[in-house]
Amino acid sequence: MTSQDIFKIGLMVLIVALSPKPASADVCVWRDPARTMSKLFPEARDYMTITRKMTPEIVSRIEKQIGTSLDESEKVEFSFYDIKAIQEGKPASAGTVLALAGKGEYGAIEIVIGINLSAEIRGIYIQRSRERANKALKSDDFLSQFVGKSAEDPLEFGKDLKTLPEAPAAAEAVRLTVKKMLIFQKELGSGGEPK
Amino acid sequence: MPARSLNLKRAFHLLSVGIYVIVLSLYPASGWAKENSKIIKHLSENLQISGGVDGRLEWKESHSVRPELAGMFLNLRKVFRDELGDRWIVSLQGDADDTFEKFRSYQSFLQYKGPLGKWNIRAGHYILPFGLLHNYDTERLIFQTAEEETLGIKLDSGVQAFGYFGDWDWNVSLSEGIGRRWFDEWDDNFLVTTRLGWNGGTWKAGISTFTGRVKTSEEFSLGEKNLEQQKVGIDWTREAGPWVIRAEGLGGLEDHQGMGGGLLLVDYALTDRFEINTKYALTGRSEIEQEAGAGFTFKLGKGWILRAGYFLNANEDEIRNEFQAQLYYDFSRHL
Repeated sequence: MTSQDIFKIGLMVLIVALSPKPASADVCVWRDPARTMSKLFPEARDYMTITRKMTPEIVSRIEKQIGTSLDESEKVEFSFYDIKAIQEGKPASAGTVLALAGKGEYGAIEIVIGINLSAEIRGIYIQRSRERANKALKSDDFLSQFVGKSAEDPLEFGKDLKTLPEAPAAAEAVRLTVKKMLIFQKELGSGGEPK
Repeated sequence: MPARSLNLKRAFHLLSVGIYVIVLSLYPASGWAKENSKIIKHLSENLQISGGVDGRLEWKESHSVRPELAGMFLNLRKVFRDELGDRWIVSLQGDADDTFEKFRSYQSFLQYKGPLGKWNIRAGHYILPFGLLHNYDTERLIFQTAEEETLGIKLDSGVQAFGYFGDWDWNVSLSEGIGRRWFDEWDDNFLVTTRLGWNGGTWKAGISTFTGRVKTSEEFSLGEKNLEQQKVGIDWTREAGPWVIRAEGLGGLEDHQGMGGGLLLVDYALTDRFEINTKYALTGRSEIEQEAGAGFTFKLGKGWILRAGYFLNANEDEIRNEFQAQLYYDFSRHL
């Protein structure tokens, strides 16, 4: 290894040390919104991306409500998609779409939910998952139990939800991720209006 | 190349490094933008900054172990809205490659998004919509798609229209056919690229065409030359639980000579952090070139990823061994 090679390695270490932290590598984006929006909001005419910053106070409130710590990448910011429809000839919010990745056994489980103006889940689907039990995880039987739920519901297996016996860890990842999104929406606001 | 262009390039390089250093230095205090003037606040709203570092250790039979800062990149993305939604998107990305030997733009464009994104128009420097490249960019991966061997070009400058109808998506691009070069190297080249795709959730497939006179990249195996190309490709992606399988096949003419190629990339997730990656590629011209590789991706956490791969490259005369390891880091957030 030459002195030039050592310089190159040193330079790389320096650049990485200068780079901002923490990273948001696990943040989930809403893929193919135009194609999938009609699943959640058939009346949608367009969408507006809204990003809100987390603060230590907001993180603390969210963690208290979900009963566990947020991942480092979730403590930075969160993006909503404000769904626009035309009402009485003018653009108006019809609801919100949220997307977040949960930690599955084989990688991220990307979940998308649509929330109506009453802050209840209107629709849900799994955008991407590498779990072995994908069929059960994506089934209507499992996902439809989340429809109609809001941040005020317990969202607990054994209370208002049933788990998946064939994939309890993946089911728990979905439950926690949905709960997080509902609390994010409650704490950070949506519908295009700052909280 | 004219001296004026060299000076311009040098100035651009220095400016890029300067911007990168300034942004990284200021970044920890990025809240400044919100507390200053209304103009800064407006400009920083919906402004996303992302970047990364790609360090590699490469071993080939022809030379000893070589560490390299393969790439460092910084991307700025700004969305302008109207009353109905996101409308204009500006993306600017600068890459410093090969341990600062090359400074150049990556995907940098202005995009108009139609209602619901059902149709879009993009002008600038972008990845060509051909085959797997359309929605799988392997620039910062060890196991890469086959455009280096099959097309000799990956990004180009031009105008692109794309959109969706139901489960179908379409894409048409008219571009200069000179890749990542500056406009002053344009030599009456042109390139028309199209792709029609179908997205069935865990299944994706597409058919692409590639027609024009292209100045291929000196970095790719084809070498630098103007090449008349007419090619058709098909691509297929399947996500099945822990498996992700991507395949591509293409065939056509290069200066009236036939060619063909195929690519298979198979990934398998063993855990949430560890994935096995494999590749097989075949390109046929006057002789057949093959590449087979296997390796892994390990997520270290906090944006850090370790990748490694061992490759066998073979033609009719020889078999070459190659090993690559990569330490990769990236970040992304809004100001």
